[in-house]
Formats: sequence, C-alpha cells, structure tokens
Amino acid sequence: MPMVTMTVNGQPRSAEAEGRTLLSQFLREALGLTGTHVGCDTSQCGCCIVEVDGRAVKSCAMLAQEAEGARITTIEGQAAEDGTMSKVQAAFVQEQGLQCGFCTPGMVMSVTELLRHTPKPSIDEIKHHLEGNICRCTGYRNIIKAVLVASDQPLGALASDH
Amino acid sequence: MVEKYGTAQSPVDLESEALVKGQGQYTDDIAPAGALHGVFVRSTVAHGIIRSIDTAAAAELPGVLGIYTARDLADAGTNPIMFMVPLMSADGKTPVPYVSTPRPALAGDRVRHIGEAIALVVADSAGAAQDAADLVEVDIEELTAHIGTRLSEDPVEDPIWDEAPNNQAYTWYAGDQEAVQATIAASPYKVTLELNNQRLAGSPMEPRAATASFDPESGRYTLYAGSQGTMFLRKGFADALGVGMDKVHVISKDVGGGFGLKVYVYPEYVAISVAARLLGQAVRWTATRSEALQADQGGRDSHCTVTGGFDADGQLNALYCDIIGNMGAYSIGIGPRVPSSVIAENIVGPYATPLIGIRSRGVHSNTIPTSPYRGAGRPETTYMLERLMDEAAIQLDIDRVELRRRNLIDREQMPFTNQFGHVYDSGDFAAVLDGAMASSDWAGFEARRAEAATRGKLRGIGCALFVETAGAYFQEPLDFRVTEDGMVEVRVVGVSTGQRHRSTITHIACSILGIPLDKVRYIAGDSDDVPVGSPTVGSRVGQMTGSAMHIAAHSAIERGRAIVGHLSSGQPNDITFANGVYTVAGTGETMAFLDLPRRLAEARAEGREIEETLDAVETFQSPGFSFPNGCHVAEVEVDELTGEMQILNYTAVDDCGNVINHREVEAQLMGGIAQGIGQGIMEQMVYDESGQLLSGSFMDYAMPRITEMPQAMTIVDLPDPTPSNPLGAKGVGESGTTASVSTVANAVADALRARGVTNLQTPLTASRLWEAMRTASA
Ligand code: FES
Ligand code: FES
Repeated sequence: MPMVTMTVNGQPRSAEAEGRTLLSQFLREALGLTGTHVGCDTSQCGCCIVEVDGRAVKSCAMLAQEAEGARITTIEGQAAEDGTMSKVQAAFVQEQGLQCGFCTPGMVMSVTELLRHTPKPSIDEIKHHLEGNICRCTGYRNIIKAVLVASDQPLGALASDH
Repeated sequence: MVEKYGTAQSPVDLESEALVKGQGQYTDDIAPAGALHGVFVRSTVAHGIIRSIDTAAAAELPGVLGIYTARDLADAGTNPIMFMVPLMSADGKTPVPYVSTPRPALAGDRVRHIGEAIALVVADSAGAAQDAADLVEVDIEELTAHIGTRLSEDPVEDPIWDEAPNNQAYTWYAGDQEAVQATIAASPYKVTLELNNQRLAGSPMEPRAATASFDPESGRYTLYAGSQGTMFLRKGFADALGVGMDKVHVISKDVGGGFGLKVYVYPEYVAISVAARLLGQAVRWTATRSEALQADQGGRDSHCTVTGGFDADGQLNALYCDIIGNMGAYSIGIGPRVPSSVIAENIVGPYATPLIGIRSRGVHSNTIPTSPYRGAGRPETTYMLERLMDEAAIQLDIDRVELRRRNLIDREQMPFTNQFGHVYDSGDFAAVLDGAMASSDWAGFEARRAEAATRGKLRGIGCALFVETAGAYFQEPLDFRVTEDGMVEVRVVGVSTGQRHRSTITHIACSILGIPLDKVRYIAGDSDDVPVGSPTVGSRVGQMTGSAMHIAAHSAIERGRAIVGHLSSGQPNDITFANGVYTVAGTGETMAFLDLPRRLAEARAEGREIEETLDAVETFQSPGFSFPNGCHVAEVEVDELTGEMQILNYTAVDDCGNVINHREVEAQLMGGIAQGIGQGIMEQMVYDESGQLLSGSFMDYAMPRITEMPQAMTIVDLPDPTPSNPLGAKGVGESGTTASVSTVANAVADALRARGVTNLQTPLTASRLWEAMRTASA
C-alpha cells in the first residue's frame, strides 16, 4: 500500500492508504483522530468536515491520496495547546449548541471557516453556510446562537416578527 | 431546595467540552486496535425464500477470516430474538395475544424485509470484508411482498407469518365500544378524520456500531454498543446468545443520539459476538447510513381514523379511534404497544371527554420492524385530538380556541382520574392555552394574514394542546456511595444520548450535599457497574433518576448525622448540616460530609465498631406517570404559486413541572420540536409496492436542516409542579415532538383553508401543498 504524507494539526503525519481510502477513514483509522465523525455515505451530513489547505471540506468526499502533501486541520487542532477552547468551541458550549455531540466537530469546523471569511455573518448567511450540516438533536437554534456569540453579535436578531 | 435548581443562570455542563473538542468516545472511536471488521450481506428482496447462499468465492479473498450464516449461529447455540414487553389489555390486567415473530440474527430460510442480515463476513480490514461481502451470492425465490399500513379482511397470498393469514399482528380494544359508537351516532355533529402517521427513520447522527469480544476463561461476552441504557439490551442479548445475564457485559460510552431506537438488542450484535467467539478475536461493525436506513428500527407508521361526536354547543360527547399500526416484519421491543396502549394512556389529553373508545390492530408488512421513536404514540394521539378540534370548529362554526376551552378539564378538578384510570395530579390547561395565545399574539394574527396576502403568501396559524405521559417504568434505583478519597459515586442506568444527564444529576446531588461539582463521579453505561434499572426512555430520567438522586442525597445526610454522632461526643439531634459540613452543637466541632468515609475507616482501624455507612441503594418509586402538558402555536406562510412553506414563529408554553434547569428544558424542547417538524413537513420512509426502499440514503430521506427551522421561537415555562415526585418535575424529552407535528399541521391547514383545501396528510412538502391547492381549485 502506498504511503500518504500530510501535515495534520501542524504535525507531519504519514501512513499507508489504499487507493479507495477516504480521507475521513484515514484520519480516524490510520491516524487515530476520531473527532472527525462519519454520519452518512453520500456527503450529506457534514459530520466529517475538516480543513484542507484553508478550506472546509467534507473529508468523506475526498480520497486520502488526494490529500498528499496537504495541510489539514481537524477538530483536535482547534483548542490551544493548554486545552483552552477556541472561540467557536467555547460559544458552542456556552449556548448549548450541541446535545449528543456527534455533529459538533463538523459544525465547529464549518463555522470556524465561515467566521474567517465573514466575521459578522447575518442569520441568513449562517443558515446558508450550515445547510450541509445535519444535526438531529438541537433543532439548530442554539447553533445559530453559538455562531452569533462567536462573532460578537447580539442574539436579538432571532426574535419573532410580531 | 428544589426552587434553587431552576434559577441557575448558566447551565451546569460537565459534558460538552470534551465533545466539542472531538474527544468523545463513541463506540466506533474506541474499537480496539486490531479488532476484525464485520460486514453484513443483506437482503435485496423484501419477501422471499432463501434457496442458497454461496460464500465460496468470498472465502477465497485474502484477509477473510470467516463467513457466517444462520446455520453457524444455530450451531453456536443462539436463539431468535424474542424479547418483548408484553402487550397488555387496556386495564393492564391480561396479556393480549399477538403473533409470535421469532427474529433470527441472520435470516436462514426466509427473508422478510429489505436489509435483513443474511450473512456476516469477517476480515482483517474493512476493505477486505466489504469486497468479500460483495462476492457472497444469495439466491432468493421471491414471494408476494406486503407493503403499506392497511389490513385485509381476507387471507392474503404469501402471508408473512403462517399464524396470521391476513398479516394481522394483534387486535386490541380500550373503552366501551358500543357505548361510544351509540353516543357518537346520537350526537348532532359527527366529525371524522383520516390521519396517516408516515413511517419515519429515527436517524441518530451516530450510526449504530458495536464491538464484541469473548473471554473463553470466564465464558463471558463483552459488547460495546451505544444504547439508552444497557439493561434491556443486555437481557435480549443474553437470551439470543443462549446464555445467562451474568455471561454478558454491555458497555455504552458516548452515544450520538438515541430517540428510542437504541434500547433493545439488534441482530448484528448477536452475529458479531458469535463470530468473535469462534475466531477468538474482537469483531467490530459500524453501520453505514444506508444500512442504518435499512436496518434501524422504524418509527411511527400508523393509520388512524378518528371520530368525534359533538353537541351543538361544541361539547365533545364521545371519541372513537380506529388505528392500524404497522409492525413491520417482526414485533420487536414495545412495538405493538405504541399504536395501542400508549394511545390509551394519552388519548384523554386535556379534554373532559366522557366516553372514549379505541380499536387498534397491528399489521405485519415486509418492512423494518417499528418500535418507539421520540414520542412513541404521543404525537399520534395529539394529532388525532388536535386535528379533530380544528375540523370540528369549522363544521360547528365555533372558534377553534373557544371550542377547546369548552372541553378543557378544569384545574379545580385535579386530581382528575381519567377514563383509563390515570390520575392527573396537576396541570392547568386553560393557563397554558392562555399563555400560548398571549405569547404568540394570536389575537393580532388576522392583520398579519392580510399583510402576507399582499405578498402572495397564504399565512396560517395553528395551535395544539397536549397532555402526555412521562416517567415510564415507575421504579428507579440509584446506587450512592462515598469513597475514602472523598468522592461521591453515583451509579445509574440511564445513559445520556445528548441530554447531559451527568450534569443534571450531579447538579442535584451537589445542591443538596453542598459539595463542589468535581466531587461527584457519575457512573453509567456499564452493565457490570449498574446491573439493573430502566433506560433513557419515556421522558423519565429528570424526574425518576433526579428524584432518586434527591432521596439518596437526603438520606445520606441523615446517615452521616448518625456517623458524626458516633465519631463525636454529640447527639444526632444536636448535629446540624449545612454547605457540606456537619456541626455539633455545643462543642462546635465540625466534620465535612466527604471526610466521613475516611474518618470512619480510621475509627474502625482503631477498633471502634460503627456499622453505619453513607452508602446505600435508594429506590424512588413513583405512583404513576406524570403528565407534562402545554400549548404550542405555529405561524406559517405558504407561497400561493409554488406551495413552498416557511415556519415563521413558533411558540411553546409548557408545564413540565418544576424546572431543574431552564436551558436544558429549552434544549430538549427545541430538539423535540425540530423532530416533530420533520415529521410534519418532510421526513418519510418510502417503500415501493415490491418492498424496495426508495429512501435509502440522506439524498432521499429528508432530514430537517437548519433552513427548515422556524425563524423565531419563544419558549415559556409555566410550571404546575407534580406532587408525585420530590422534585415536582414532569419530564420534557418528548413534549416538543408530541406537540409540534399537530401544531404545524394545523397552521398549514389554516393557511390553505381559504383555498378550499380540506384533506392534508403529512409530510406537508411543497409539492403536496401545491398539488392540494391545484386539486381544490379545480
Ligand atoms: S460523513 Fe461526510 S458528509 Fe456525511
Ligand atoms: S448534537 Fe446530536 S446530532 Fe447534533
């Protein structure tokens, strides 16, 4: 089996990968980074999102070999060395933007990317950006709140129209 | 003490940080290195006779270590999966007969649904196992497939079970059928509705996964599998393996959602366990999403005909529900109870209906077995009552809110023993209705409707009142210990699948004991630690485990008082307890609660004989269900041209009793509401007539996404505490789902009424709404 080498969360990592091995599988099985989750087999759910060369990518929709030489960041690379949560992670905890936590790594990765290019997203922009992330537990409302908090915006925009 | 919980401004959350960092320990994450990989060969035919299974080519592939079929499982001494909670008559006294449906872990001579497991391939890599599985050839002679939730009066061709020539699983009655029918017939207004609760896929985001191993020395199987509590699973698992309960060890760590479908044993767990034993190595299996859609137990799937007999002044004199519940190919778990006894437990709702009758009939079909999915009978019941109220209001020309008011059970009538013997000990239904009307600005709606019309939108508003049962299995043991290193250990059976039980229960313990949150070890999910107790089902953990925690902590304080009496010179009634510390009056001597085990050990080492201990298993016994209730309102807009619908405002006013933590209550409601909205507007498992599953992936099974959620949401607690448990809490896990299906359906019906649309069935997709408007105007 060919070796694949990439930089993951700042560290050079190599392992063998078959031609058909998905990046998600590679991260979980070969590198033991089980924070990247797999919730579907049709690239519909977003549980597997990681960052590849600065872009949020569904790692189940990419082959490990295609990531040869890439710079990858996973959920495990979000908190600081001393364990301090990133601003997005802290906002998810504060606003209870998670319940079972299975969709959460993908949500956090996706939101982190959003805030990088859109520091103050509107609610419509948040919804548009997270349309590819399925959460079965939360009803999404606390996730929107978490994004607003992570981007230093008031929660008032979520109020009703009457 | 109780009041103080609910006012917690920031939620106690001991669980989320690890999850948000990707450090969760879901079953597939913790499979041991070197575990073998199992892949199942599943039926591609809905109903048929297995003529042959050819594994020769598959067995040749490098890396393949074993291929197992029904014969291997039989040789290994396994039994079909039978475990089921009996279906009881409405008075709970006699078991009601149902067709026995032994479910093999691997189908041997007959397949009864698409996705039924036929063979298990085990290899040293996932790829090799998959390649080999693709080479297994199964020859199946097709039989007539039976699909759909309908019952034939006559025998059918190729019935699924010989015992049931027309595929009927059971017949179940509640109430005085004749009296109800006679009263309806004599009522001046008779309103009938047909309501379909389409088949749903529970779809927790973590697909089911399991790792099994066998220790030949002890003869014990160990199974790692996500569950809502290990006990029911363990029982079914041991029975299927043909061993005693002591020979199985079941462990659930983090669980990525349950919703009712991670309670019982599944065929895959039995098959991989036998393989692990035969191969002498751990075997792991993780479902793909398409496998989950083919093999996870299904939800809902019942067809209801509901008839109400009303007086001219709107009094509901009698109600009759005729239900057909689709069991799928096998009756599993509490499957047959969902469309029968659970309906009876909930059908009274908030209304003082003098006479209620139910007929429920189960039908087998060549589909995945059904069993509870969040709400499990409660949303269906509310759907019948609340759609009926809206339709009756039209026919009787009485305002729909006023019609409800005229039928409500009054707060003054509490405790109210309902027709089926359940006691409502609290609940102010008029208050939740008033609250919802005010919070949703119901009175101002017509102006909003008129404004929407100018934009080409049909705006509608709808409400649903509900009363539901919570707290199933009325006993809850809790194992309470304090260790010599000064830690409280709490062992409970209900596993959290996202409810943050550890946080809630720890919060209760610490509030009572006056100790810091990090002094509690919460132990759940391992059947060796916690052998008995009920799982996380039926909105029970807050009130049941919470109450057990409350009792255990208070009784430990009393035992501690006696211990302090022995260790000091004080008399127990001179000893006060506050903030985790005992103080002996007079001497002023103090002892910390958490220090007592160490001090006891020291005293005993010095030869003192003190029998007391802080440790005890306390059992909370509740007198029956509690009855969460509420009123929800939804406001929607439908596009006149496309049928596209948006939920604008959603208001929930809920009485879930005393609130331990408002934000957690809100989280449960929001998640539950979203699942009900999914049923209301988009989700549906679709089988074609030959039994092929058309909604076999998330491309076709429509999971609610962020864009479908209500734009605005208001959640109000209106507690009327229950005296049935020391916390006064009623449960909240299912309320959102129980209410939201009907709430949204009523709002959409209201929006489309102006266009002459009368019959709407969920899921209310844009194409259905468009079609309904088109047909109505034609
Ligand atoms: S696992 Fe990648 S999108 Fe679902
Ligand atoms: S928190 Fe469970 S799926 Fe999102």
